Amino acid sequence: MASDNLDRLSNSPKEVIDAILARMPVRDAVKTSFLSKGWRYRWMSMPVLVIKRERGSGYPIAFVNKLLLLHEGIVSKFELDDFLKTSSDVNHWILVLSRKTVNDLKLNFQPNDNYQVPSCLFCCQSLRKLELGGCLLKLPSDYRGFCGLTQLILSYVTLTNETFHSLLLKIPLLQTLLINYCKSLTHFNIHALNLKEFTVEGDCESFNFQNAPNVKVAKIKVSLPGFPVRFKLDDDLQGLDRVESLTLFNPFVEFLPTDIAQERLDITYSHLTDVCLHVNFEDVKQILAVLCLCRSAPRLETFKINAIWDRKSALSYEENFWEVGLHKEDAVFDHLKTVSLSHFKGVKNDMGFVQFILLKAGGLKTFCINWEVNAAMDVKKHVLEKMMEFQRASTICKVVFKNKA
Amino acid sequence: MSEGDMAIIKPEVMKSYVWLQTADGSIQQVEEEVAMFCPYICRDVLQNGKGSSKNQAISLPQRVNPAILSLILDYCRFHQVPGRSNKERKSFDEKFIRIDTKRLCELTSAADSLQLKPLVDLTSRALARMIEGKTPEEIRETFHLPDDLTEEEKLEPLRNTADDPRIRLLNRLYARKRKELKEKEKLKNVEVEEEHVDERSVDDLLSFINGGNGDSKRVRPPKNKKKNRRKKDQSKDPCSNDVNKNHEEIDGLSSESHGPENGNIFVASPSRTPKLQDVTDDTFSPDIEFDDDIDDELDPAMKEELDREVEDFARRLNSDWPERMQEILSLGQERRSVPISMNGNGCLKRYSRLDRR
Repeated sequence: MASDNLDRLSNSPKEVIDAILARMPVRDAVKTSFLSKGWRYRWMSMPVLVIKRERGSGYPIAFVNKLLLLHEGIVSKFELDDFLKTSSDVNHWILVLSRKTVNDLKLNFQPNDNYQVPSCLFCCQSLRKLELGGCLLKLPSDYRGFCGLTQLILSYVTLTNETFHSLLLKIPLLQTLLINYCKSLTHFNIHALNLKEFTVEGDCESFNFQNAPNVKVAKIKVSLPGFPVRFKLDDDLQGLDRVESLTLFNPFVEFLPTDIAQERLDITYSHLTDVCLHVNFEDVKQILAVLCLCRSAPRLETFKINAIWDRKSALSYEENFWEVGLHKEDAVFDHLKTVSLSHFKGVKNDMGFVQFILLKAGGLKTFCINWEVNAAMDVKKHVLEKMMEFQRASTICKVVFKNKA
Repeated sequence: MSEGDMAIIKPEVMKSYVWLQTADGSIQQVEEEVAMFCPYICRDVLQNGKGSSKNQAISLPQRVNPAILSLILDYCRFHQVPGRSNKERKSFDEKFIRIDTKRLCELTSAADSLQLKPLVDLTSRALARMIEGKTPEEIRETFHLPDDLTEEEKLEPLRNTADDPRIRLLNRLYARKRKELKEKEKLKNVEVEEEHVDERSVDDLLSFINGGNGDSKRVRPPKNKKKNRRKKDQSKDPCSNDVNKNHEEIDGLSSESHGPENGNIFVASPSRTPKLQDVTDDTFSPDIEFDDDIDDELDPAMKEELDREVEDFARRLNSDWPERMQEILSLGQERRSVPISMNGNGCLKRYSRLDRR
């Protein structure tokens, strides 16, 4: 029939229909039942259910209840965003989804509600990716782990250090772990042999990567309210032997002002090629930590630094700190190719740092400097003039100045 | 054919080609780097060693006809070049999907069978955009879908009825109406406040006068009623029943004689009632129960009379409201809680006594 010929859409394979339905709001997908006989029940077997709260309408408890009741077949992805009112219904949904062998589950709750995830969540053995937000996490006594889980994301989740450790112990295939501002989780004892990527942002006091030897990418953005928290390199970095890319906020090495600071760390991080740091340039402890790290990473290629200027609780420099440093024999930055420095002020501390890098980095190609927001014209002029005098170890180095908007 | 032969290192001069065969039998040769962008073809070449000659052509899935294949190859030819910026790619994609829906559907199916994920993503998103937010009629027209649902099937609610935009609109109108009324009530509530205060003082007075016995008891229920009345005023739900309104005001009016000079206060506006007869009033029932309590104390005959008076006053109040305000503020003692179960005379007597004072 002529109309059949034209109706290419209905004759598309199931994978295509599912792909189309997955890319529109769930309610529109459900409304396709009203199109034609052939479409009446199609939405009921779509494997991807992403429910977003629509502006103006209430919380979709009744809708999701009906949705899950009518849905047939497996659910590969279920995502529920920004759900405020927690109720026993949510527990039922998780139970239903565990029966539907859900692979990708994302549930975000409002932290004020203190919703505790039900034990049936831990029965979802089919999970490959789990993302939880704003809830309470407690392990049931018969916790068997997640045999297939490779990605775990916890945001604003309340769980204890012991829970965290026990949780990870039974997730053998975990490859990606993201922790965002999880209260009361401060000691990261990570037991994950297959873990490749680790990111944490929030309160951190200590780390133990001894049982996570395969981490390639580590991003540690420490922030404790009240006092500046720093990542103690010599202690906390232990175990990240094979790390390739490292992002740290405020790294430091501990020493007394009268001591000589250590030159390098105990371990050489020979795979480390990419480093991104937030450094307080007013604090000599942090500068020394940075240099210490760089000396322990001989293959460093890309170096990104965000300068922070915070005088509080910072140990200030000696007068000739940089002069002494520049004249010392120092094999560092041998493989360095790209450097990027942001919030540059052009004062003694950061100028000294720039001078040091230019002097030591024999293979440097690009040095990108982003001015601090309110840098004055005469400061810039002075900096440029001074920088022309700096000796450069690399003959192919370009120094580029930028004004970040 | 070993994998080594199929390595992508080729001399500048010679370009490698891959032979592809579509379901209709036609065979064509395609530049290797373009064809290898398709996982399906790539796998066939590397694992099965096919595609190197005409009689070893890779047979493509059934959904890939020559016309669609040429489109897909255009896509591959553009995207396999590594140096392109994201902006360029995005711009190409946007132009690429500007084809008729029939071909777009065919393209999606073909891309799916060739496992070309980025193209499936692009095309299915485009199709989803054509369905999202449109009415069933519009969608049927766009995709030439048959309109073959029976009438019953069309009416069956498969989704939450609250989703119906018409019902939502209606609810919104009701909400807006309720809000307007609330605003009006707020103005009138000012009077209630003062009245309430007066009421209490009168009650005290009464109990003092009457030795505080039975009267004090009597005094209390009206207070509650007053409170309830205020509550009712503040509730969103407008009253659609004159009677209930009137019952509310009865305690206030019990002392009221039938003359206009009483200026008894009508707080709840009976004027409200005619307007909202059509509105659903599910919050209404509790108020009715409350009103029934008052009824218990009333004689039915008296009730009717009072209803009439109340209506009368309502009309008058609405016509010269500002003057009433003045009267209300100056009088105020007229609020009576004397039960009407006593004879009307008694009531009037009471009133006149106060009046004299």
